[in-house]
Amino acid sequence: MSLEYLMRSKGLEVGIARSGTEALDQMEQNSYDLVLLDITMPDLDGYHVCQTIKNHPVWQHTHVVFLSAKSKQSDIEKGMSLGATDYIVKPFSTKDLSNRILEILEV
Amino acid sequence: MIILITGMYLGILFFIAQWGKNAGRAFLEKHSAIFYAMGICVYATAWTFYGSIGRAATHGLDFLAIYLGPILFLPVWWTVMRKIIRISKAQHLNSLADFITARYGKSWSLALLTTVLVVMAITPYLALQIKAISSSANVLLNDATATPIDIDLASTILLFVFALFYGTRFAFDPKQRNGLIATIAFESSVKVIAAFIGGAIIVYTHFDGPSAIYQESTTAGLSKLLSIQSSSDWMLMLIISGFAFFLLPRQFQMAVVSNKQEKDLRTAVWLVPLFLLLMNWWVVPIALGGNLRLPAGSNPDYYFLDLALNSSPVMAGLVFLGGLAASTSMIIVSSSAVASMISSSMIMPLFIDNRWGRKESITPVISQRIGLLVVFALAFSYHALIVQKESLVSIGMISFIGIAQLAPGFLAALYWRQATSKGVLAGLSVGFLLWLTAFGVPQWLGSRSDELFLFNLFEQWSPLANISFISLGLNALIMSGISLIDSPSRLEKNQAEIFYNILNIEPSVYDNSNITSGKITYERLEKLLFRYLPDELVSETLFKRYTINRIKPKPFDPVPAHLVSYAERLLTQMMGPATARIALHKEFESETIDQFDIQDIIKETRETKQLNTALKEKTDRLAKLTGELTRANEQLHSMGKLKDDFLYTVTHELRSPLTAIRAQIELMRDEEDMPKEIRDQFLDATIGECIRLTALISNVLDIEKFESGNQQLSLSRVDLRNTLGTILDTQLFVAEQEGISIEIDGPEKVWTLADEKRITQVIINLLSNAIKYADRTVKVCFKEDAKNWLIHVIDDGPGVPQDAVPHLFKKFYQSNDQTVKKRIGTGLGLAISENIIKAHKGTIELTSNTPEGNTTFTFTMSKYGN
Repeated sequence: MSLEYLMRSKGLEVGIARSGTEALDQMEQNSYDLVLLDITMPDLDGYHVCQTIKNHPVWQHTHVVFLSAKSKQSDIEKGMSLGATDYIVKPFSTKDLSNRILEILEV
Repeated sequence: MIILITGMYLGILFFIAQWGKNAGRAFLEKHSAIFYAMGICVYATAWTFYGSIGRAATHGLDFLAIYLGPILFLPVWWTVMRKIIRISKAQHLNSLADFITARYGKSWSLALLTTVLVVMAITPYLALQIKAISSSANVLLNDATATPIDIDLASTILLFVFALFYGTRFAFDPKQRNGLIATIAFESSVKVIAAFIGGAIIVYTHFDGPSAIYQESTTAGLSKLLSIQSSSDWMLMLIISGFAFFLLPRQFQMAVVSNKQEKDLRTAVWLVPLFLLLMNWWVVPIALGGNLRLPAGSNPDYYFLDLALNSSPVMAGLVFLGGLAASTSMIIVSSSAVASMISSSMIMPLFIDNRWGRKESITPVISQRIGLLVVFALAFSYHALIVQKESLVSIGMISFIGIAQLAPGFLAALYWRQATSKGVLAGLSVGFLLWLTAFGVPQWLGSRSDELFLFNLFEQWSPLANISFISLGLNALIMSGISLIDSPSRLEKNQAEIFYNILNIEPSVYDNSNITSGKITYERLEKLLFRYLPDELVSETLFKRYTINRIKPKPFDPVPAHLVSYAERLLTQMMGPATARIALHKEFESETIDQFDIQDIIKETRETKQLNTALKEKTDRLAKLTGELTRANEQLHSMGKLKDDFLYTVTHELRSPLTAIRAQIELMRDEEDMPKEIRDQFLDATIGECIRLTALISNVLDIEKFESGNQQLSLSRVDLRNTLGTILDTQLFVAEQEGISIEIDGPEKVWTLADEKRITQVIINLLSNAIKYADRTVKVCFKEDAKNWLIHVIDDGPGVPQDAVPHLFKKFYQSNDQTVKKRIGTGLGLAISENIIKAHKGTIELTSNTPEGNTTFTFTMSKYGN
């Protein structure tokens, strides 16, 4: 909820999904520039979603940013190796998050 | 006529021997036990057949001692025999002299002394048998003009020929042995049939049966014959006969050398006494009958024959044949045995020692034949030249006492490791000397035993008893004394150990006790063996041994120690242990052939075995411990991993609420123009997350306390229905929101002993889970069995997926099916519930899980407290 508010206040359009499959459904319906992806989710985990996106002919250029409490070096490396643009660890500073996302989207 | 019968009978013997050697081999193998036992019955000679009756007629039941002695010894005989047989087989010993020599350091002087003793003692005994043949023939002919020399010379020569063929290669040729065994068994059958059936016929036809004879004897004043005349003599005869049963050369041949398998002994143990019983069955009646019926002055030794003559010629013929069988069997076996001794200790050494400077040697077979010639010549000369006034039994007894001189040395050989060759030599010499002066010499000179010059130490005993006791006593004493102060060679000590312990030592021990230097080569060893053994024998034995041990004998390679031992054994069976050793040392003069101390080897082997078992035990224990250690390690590992996982998961779980709290508060700080509703929403959410966080932390602490056993329950009497009632309101509220109804069912009061706060936790956990997953209804049922309450929490939802079931009660496990609702709870609920219920000594489980039906969680609480 707070994330939604944060993004909206920065002038971004936000879509929310509560699970990996829901996220992929939403991607099919709309096109997005950036996906903020939790890892620990019911059914498909974040890694799988990222892989699917990055292997998709159309979506592969969408930015994927992991947002997760999994903070081990190996988790971060795994995420990055799957083609993510960034990996942000929870808990995070809202300022840092919003700055980073804007940065990515400007590029 | 008589000559014809005799000739025919002896001819039959040849046939039987041939049969035994060839066609009958299979039959002999199959019935080896019976043949073996019958062979041992060669013990009963003309002495038994005729002499017993003679003795009984004059001295009453004295004669029995000679048969009771062996019978009494039989229980011992069986165990002792096993030892003797095993030793003889292991060391290839073929005569009594071999046996004694082998034990006492393979001393040649002992071999010689033993042989001389045996010759002196047995020659009269042999002559006695020849005499029996001629005397019995005489009785039949009833005519003193027919010179006895004809019959006995003829039979002697025939027997000599028989022995030449069947009695020489005996020692090392199993086929020959079969021939001899067959013959002796046959002869034993003949004599026992003649004795028993012949006796029966005479007693029942000539008289009116045994009772009639006894009655008549009593009236005639002969009843004293129904008792033992002299008990001291009797005891003496018992003991000496017992010894003789082992020590007579013919007995050793038939009982030890002819033995094929140890289990044949079992048959002999009962068959031999039975045989002796049958042989002696009619002795007393016939003796008495003879006294009653026959003219005074008849030779009581031949009562049997006389009475038979009076009966019918057929009977006479039968009895005569019986006596013939008894005599000839003794002559054949005994002569072969004695000849073998003469060959080994007197003839072969002459050639081996190269005393005459001869390069060639005679073969052992020829040597044995020469020995046979000597024996027969001596026996016949003795018979012909020395007029015997003695009864058969007396001559026999003297022989027995002579042979008995070997008893101390023999017994010590088996049971007293400290006996040494010097001791035995000394003891034997003294005993022999005494015997010689008291009996031997006078006997050879032809005087009667009561004319002997001797010293009667014990007045109440007979001269025989005196001399026996004194000679044997001194023999034993001197042997013991000198043995104790003597220090024997290593060879002697080793042999002593082997003889004593044969039943427990493994063959490899004495196989490998030889130490040989490298100069004994295959070429030289084979040359040595070929000189004394027939070619076929060498291939059958030595070459076969090569094959078995996978040895490729290169002529100039050194021979391993165990082969040298084997070669020595091969030589031993041809010429006795003393001469074999001399031959071996003569050939390899400069080489050392020495012995390890067998006691050392045995000790080492035993120690090695003990070490091995100890080692194995330790290794097993080590393996077990290692297994346990590995398991413990794994457990520790997995526990460590669990703890890591737990820690990781907990911290992970903590981050989620913290993330939300931080984000929300940051936003509230940074966004000045945040609408009030949003702000309020955020604040509520933050508070909610804080509550969640607190719940999580308490749960984790709870779990930790339960796991480490630090949880204390405060128990009180609790009504579970009441407990349920206290939380029902809150739960109902939640349930209504979801459109779910809750039912309760069960008795009014559900009393148990519990920690109320904790049980409440459990019920809340189960109930909230049920509400979360139910379709429409949730039911709580209180049931009971004999000891416990069963509390069922039932929902009609889809249930737990199969792969989740085993992990249900594990920490942090949460169902994947949370798509519909936001993740609530910490994943620790069921785990904590399980801990609480277990602490109450109850059980909790998923008892029903069908998608179409209901999902039921059940926990138990004891009814009346723990």
